Amino acid sequence: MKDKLLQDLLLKQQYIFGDNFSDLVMYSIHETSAPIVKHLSWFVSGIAASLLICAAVVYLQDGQLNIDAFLGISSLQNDTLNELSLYL
Amino acid sequence: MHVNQSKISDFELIQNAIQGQQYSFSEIVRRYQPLIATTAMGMLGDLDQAQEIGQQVFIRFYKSMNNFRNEAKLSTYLTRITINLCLNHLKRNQNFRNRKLDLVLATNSASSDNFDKDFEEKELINQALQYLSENQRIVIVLRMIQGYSTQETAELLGIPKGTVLSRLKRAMDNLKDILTKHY
Repeated sequence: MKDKLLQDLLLKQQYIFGDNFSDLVMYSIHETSAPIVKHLSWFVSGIAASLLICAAVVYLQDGQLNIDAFLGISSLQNDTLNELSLYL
Repeated sequence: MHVNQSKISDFELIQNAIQGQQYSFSEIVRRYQPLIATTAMGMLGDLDQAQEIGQQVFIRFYKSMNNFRNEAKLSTYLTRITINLCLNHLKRNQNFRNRKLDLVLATNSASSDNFDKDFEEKELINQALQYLSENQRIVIVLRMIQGYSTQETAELLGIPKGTVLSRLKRAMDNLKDILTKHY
Protein backbone atom coordinates (compact mmCIF):
# COMPACT_ATOMS: atom_id res chain seq x y z
CA MET A 1 0.00 0.00 0.00
CA LYS A 2 1.36 3.41 -0.99
CA ASP A 3 1.83 6.21 1.55
CA LYS A 4 -0.38 8.60 -0.41
CA LEU A 5 -3.30 6.15 -0.51
CA LEU A 6 -3.02 5.50 3.22
CA GLN A 7 -2.88 9.26 3.95
CA ASP A 8 -6.02 9.81 1.85
CA LEU A 9 -7.84 6.98 3.62
CA LEU A 10 -6.86 8.39 7.01
CA LEU A 11 -8.12 11.85 6.04
CA LYS A 12 -11.52 10.29 5.34
CA GLN A 13 -11.77 9.02 8.95
CA GLN A 14 -14.07 11.87 9.93
CA TYR A 15 -17.07 11.19 12.16
CA ILE A 16 -19.97 13.08 13.67
CA PHE A 17 -22.34 12.13 16.45
CA GLY A 18 -26.08 12.24 15.72
CA ASP A 19 -28.13 15.41 15.25
CA ASN A 20 -29.53 15.11 18.75
CA PHE A 21 -26.08 14.87 20.36
CA SER A 22 -26.18 18.43 21.74
CA ASP A 23 -29.61 17.70 23.25
CA LEU A 24 -28.17 14.56 24.85
CA VAL A 25 -25.29 16.57 26.31
CA MET A 26 -27.59 19.28 27.67
CA TYR A 27 -29.82 16.59 29.19
CA SER A 28 -26.80 14.88 30.81
CA ILE A 29 -25.59 18.22 32.19
CA HIS A 30 -29.02 18.85 33.66
CA GLU A 31 -29.08 15.32 35.12
CA THR A 32 -25.63 15.61 36.70
CA SER A 33 -26.44 18.97 38.32
CA ALA A 34 -29.94 17.90 39.44
CA PRO A 35 -28.81 15.71 42.42
CA ILE A 36 -27.24 18.79 44.07
CA VAL A 37 -30.58 20.62 43.81
CA LYS A 38 -32.35 17.53 45.19
CA HIS A 39 -29.93 17.30 48.15
CA LEU A 40 -30.32 21.03 48.75
CA SER A 41 -34.11 20.83 48.81
CA TRP A 42 -33.94 17.90 51.27
CA PHE A 43 -31.55 19.91 53.43
CA VAL A 44 -33.86 22.97 53.51
CA SER A 45 -36.92 20.77 54.14
CA GLY A 46 -35.06 19.07 57.01
CA ILE A 47 -34.20 22.38 58.66
CA ALA A 48 -37.80 23.66 58.26
CA ALA A 49 -39.22 20.44 59.75
CA SER A 50 -36.79 20.60 62.71
CA LEU A 51 -37.81 24.22 63.46
CA LEU A 52 -41.51 23.32 63.30
CA ILE A 53 -41.05 20.35 65.70
CA CYS A 54 -38.99 22.52 68.02
CA ALA A 55 -41.69 25.23 68.01
CA ALA A 56 -44.43 22.67 68.66
CA VAL A 57 -42.53 21.20 71.64
CA VAL A 58 -41.91 24.69 73.11
CA TYR A 59 -45.59 25.60 72.69
CA LEU A 60 -46.74 22.37 74.34
CA GLN A 61 -44.40 22.89 77.30
CA ASP A 62 -44.91 26.64 77.87
CA GLY A 63 -48.30 27.33 76.28
CA GLN A 64 -46.81 30.30 74.48
CA LEU A 65 -44.51 30.86 71.57
CA ASN A 66 -42.14 33.79 72.03
CA ILE A 67 -38.40 34.35 72.27
CA ASP A 68 -38.31 33.78 76.09
CA ALA A 69 -40.05 30.44 75.63
CA PHE A 70 -37.54 29.47 72.96
CA LEU A 71 -34.64 30.47 75.24
CA GLY A 72 -36.21 28.60 78.18
CA ILE A 73 -36.39 31.68 80.46
CA SER A 74 -40.14 32.45 80.26
CA SER A 75 -40.76 31.05 83.78
CA LEU A 76 -38.09 33.29 85.36
CA GLN A 77 -39.17 36.59 86.97
CA ASN A 78 -37.25 39.79 86.28
CA ASP A 79 -36.03 39.86 89.91
CA THR A 80 -34.60 36.39 89.56
CA LEU A 81 -32.81 37.49 86.46
CA ASN A 82 -31.36 40.51 88.29
CA GLU A 83 -30.16 38.24 91.11
CA LEU A 84 -28.65 35.84 88.68
CA SER A 85 -26.80 38.65 86.94
CA LEU A 86 -24.95 39.33 90.23
CA TYR A 87 -23.18 35.99 89.86
CA LEU A 88 -22.03 36.72 86.32
CA MET B 1 -33.05 38.24 21.34
CA HIS B 2 -31.21 35.28 19.74
CA VAL B 3 -28.21 36.37 17.69
CA ASN B 4 -27.03 34.00 14.94
CA GLN B 5 -24.88 31.79 17.17
CA SER B 6 -22.69 30.47 14.35
CA LYS B 7 -21.13 33.95 13.89
CA ILE B 8 -20.19 34.40 17.54
CA SER B 9 -16.60 33.66 18.60
CA ASP B 10 -15.83 30.73 20.91
CA PHE B 11 -14.84 33.05 23.72
CA GLU B 12 -18.11 35.02 23.53
CA LEU B 13 -20.09 31.77 23.49
CA ILE B 14 -18.26 30.62 26.61
CA GLN B 15 -18.91 33.92 28.36
CA ASN B 16 -22.60 33.71 27.44
CA ALA B 17 -22.76 30.09 28.60
CA ILE B 18 -21.16 31.04 31.93
CA GLN B 19 -23.92 33.64 32.33
CA GLY B 20 -26.49 30.87 31.92
CA GLN B 21 -27.38 31.00 28.21
CA GLN B 22 -27.85 27.30 27.50
CA TYR B 23 -28.21 27.75 23.73
CA SER B 24 -24.67 29.22 23.69
CA PHE B 25 -23.33 26.02 25.21
CA SER B 26 -25.41 23.99 22.73
CA GLU B 27 -23.72 25.92 19.94
CA ILE B 28 -20.28 25.03 21.37
CA VAL B 29 -21.34 21.37 21.38
CA ARG B 30 -22.62 21.58 17.79
CA ARG B 31 -19.47 23.36 16.66
CA TYR B 32 -16.99 20.93 18.20
CA GLN B 33 -18.78 17.60 18.19
CA PRO B 34 -17.22 16.50 14.83
CA LEU B 35 -13.74 17.13 16.26
CA ILE B 36 -14.51 15.14 19.41
CA ALA B 37 -16.29 12.38 17.47
CA THR B 38 -13.36 11.92 15.08
CA THR B 39 -10.77 11.89 17.87
CA ALA B 40 -12.75 9.53 20.11
CA MET B 41 -13.62 7.19 17.22
CA GLY B 42 -9.98 7.07 16.16
CA MET B 43 -8.94 6.20 19.68
CA LEU B 44 -11.74 3.78 20.60
CA GLY B 45 -13.06 2.44 17.29
CA ASP B 46 -16.61 2.15 18.57
CA LEU B 47 -19.26 4.80 17.98
CA ASP B 48 -21.29 4.10 21.13
CA GLN B 49 -18.22 4.33 23.35
CA ALA B 50 -17.04 7.40 21.45
CA GLN B 51 -20.41 9.07 21.99
CA GLU B 52 -20.28 8.27 25.70
CA ILE B 53 -16.81 9.82 25.93
CA GLY B 54 -18.02 12.77 23.82
CA GLN B 55 -20.74 13.49 26.37
CA GLN B 56 -18.25 13.29 29.23
CA VAL B 57 -15.92 15.70 27.42
CA PHE B 58 -18.61 18.37 27.15
CA ILE B 59 -19.90 17.78 30.69
CA ARG B 60 -16.35 18.16 32.01
CA PHE B 61 -15.88 21.31 29.97
CA TYR B 62 -19.22 22.71 31.17
CA LYS B 63 -18.12 22.25 34.79
CA SER B 64 -14.70 23.83 34.22
CA MET B 65 -15.42 26.54 31.66
CA ASN B 66 -15.00 29.24 34.30
CA ASN B 67 -11.31 28.31 34.33
CA PHE B 68 -10.93 28.44 30.55
CA ARG B 69 -8.55 31.18 29.43
CA ASN B 70 -8.76 32.72 25.98
CA GLU B 71 -5.03 32.07 25.50
CA ALA B 72 -5.67 28.46 24.50
CA LYS B 73 -7.67 27.40 21.45
CA LEU B 74 -10.91 25.72 22.46
CA SER B 75 -10.31 22.95 19.90
CA THR B 76 -6.95 22.14 21.52
CA TYR B 77 -8.44 22.27 25.01
CA LEU B 78 -11.29 19.90 24.08
CA THR B 79 -8.96 17.57 22.19
CA ARG B 80 -6.78 17.29 25.28
CA ILE B 81 -9.77 16.39 27.46
CA THR B 82 -10.87 13.83 24.86
CA ILE B 83 -7.48 12.15 24.73
CA ASN B 84 -7.27 11.92 28.52
CA LEU B 85 -10.76 10.44 28.82
CA CYS B 86 -10.11 7.99 25.97
CA LEU B 87 -6.87 6.79 27.57
CA ASN B 88 -8.63 6.30 30.92
CA HIS B 89 -11.42 4.43 29.18
CA LEU B 90 -8.96 2.18 27.33
CA LYS B 91 -7.12 1.37 30.55
CA ARG B 92 -10.37 0.34 32.23
CA ASN B 93 -11.66 -1.76 29.32
CA GLN B 94 -8.51 -3.25 27.81
CA ASN B 95 -9.37 -6.95 28.03
CA PHE B 96 -12.93 -6.52 26.87
CA ARG B 97 -11.86 -4.36 23.93
CA ASN B 98 -9.34 -6.90 22.61
CA ARG B 99 -11.91 -9.70 22.60
CA LYS B 100 -14.52 -7.52 20.93
CA LEU B 101 -12.17 -6.38 18.16
CA ASP B 102 -11.46 -9.94 16.98
CA LEU B 103 -15.17 -10.63 16.82
CA VAL B 104 -15.91 -7.51 14.75
CA LEU B 105 -13.14 -8.35 12.29
CA ALA B 106 -14.44 -11.87 11.79
CA THR B 107 -18.00 -10.68 11.22
CA ASN B 108 -16.91 -7.92 8.90
CA SER B 109 -14.75 -10.01 6.60
CA ALA B 110 -17.55 -12.54 6.19
CA SER B 111 -20.08 -10.00 5.01
CA SER B 112 -17.90 -7.42 3.29
CA ASP B 113 -19.81 -7.71 -0.02
CA ASN B 114 -22.77 -5.98 1.56
CA PHE B 115 -20.88 -2.87 2.50
CA ASP B 116 -20.73 0.31 0.50
CA LYS B 117 -17.10 0.71 -0.67
CA ASP B 118 -16.39 4.02 1.10
CA PHE B 119 -18.00 2.87 4.29
CA GLU B 120 -16.11 -0.41 4.10
CA GLU B 121 -12.76 1.33 3.62
CA LYS B 122 -13.50 3.64 6.51
CA GLU B 123 -14.44 0.74 8.72
CA LEU B 124 -11.35 -1.25 7.77
CA ILE B 125 -9.04 1.67 8.57
CA ASN B 126 -10.92 2.22 11.81
CA GLN B 127 -10.37 -1.37 12.83
CA ALA B 128 -6.76 -1.43 11.69
CA LEU B 129 -6.11 1.61 13.89
CA GLN B 130 -7.20 -0.39 16.91
CA TYR B 131 -4.29 -2.81 16.38
CA LEU B 132 -1.76 -0.03 16.95
CA SER B 133 -0.41 0.74 20.40
CA GLU B 134 -2.14 3.67 22.11
CA ASN B 135 0.93 5.89 21.71
CA GLN B 136 1.10 5.28 17.97
CA ARG B 137 -2.66 5.58 17.52
CA ILE B 138 -2.81 8.98 19.25
CA VAL B 139 -0.15 10.34 16.93
CA ILE B 140 -1.96 9.04 13.82
CA VAL B 141 -5.29 10.47 15.01
CA LEU B 142 -3.90 13.91 15.81
CA ARG B 143 -1.38 14.28 13.01
CA MET B 144 -2.92 12.40 10.07
CA ILE B 145 -6.67 12.47 10.77
CA GLN B 146 -7.18 15.75 12.64
CA GLY B 147 -4.45 17.53 10.70
CA TYR B 148 -2.61 19.04 13.66
CA SER B 149 0.97 20.06 12.85
CA THR B 150 3.87 18.10 14.31
CA GLN B 151 4.51 20.97 16.72
CA GLU B 152 0.85 21.08 17.85
CA THR B 153 0.78 17.30 18.25
CA ALA B 154 3.93 17.44 20.35
CA GLU B 155 2.42 20.16 22.57
CA LEU B 156 -0.87 18.31 22.94
CA LEU B 157 0.89 15.12 24.03
CA GLY B 158 3.64 16.81 26.00
CA ILE B 159 6.41 15.03 24.08
CA PRO B 160 9.29 16.30 21.90
CA LYS B 161 8.74 16.85 18.16
CA GLY B 162 11.30 14.17 17.35
CA THR B 163 9.30 11.60 19.32
CA VAL B 164 6.14 12.54 17.40
CA LEU B 165 7.96 12.03 14.10
CA SER B 166 9.48 8.67 15.08
CA ARG B 167 6.17 7.39 16.48
CA LEU B 168 4.39 8.57 13.34
CA LYS B 169 6.85 6.75 11.10
CA ARG B 170 6.50 3.51 13.09
CA ALA B 171 2.72 3.88 13.24
CA MET B 172 2.36 4.39 9.48
CA ASP B 173 4.62 1.38 8.79
CA ASN B 174 2.65 -0.78 11.24
CA LEU B 175 -0.66 0.38 9.78
CA LYS B 176 0.47 -0.57 6.28
CA ASP B 177 1.59 -4.01 7.55
CA ILE B 178 -1.72 -4.57 9.35
CA LEU B 179 -3.76 -3.58 6.29
CA THR B 180 -1.68 -5.77 3.99
CA LYS B 181 -1.82 -8.75 6.37
CA HIS B 182 -5.53 -8.65 7.17
CA TYR B 183 -7.16 -7.25 4.08
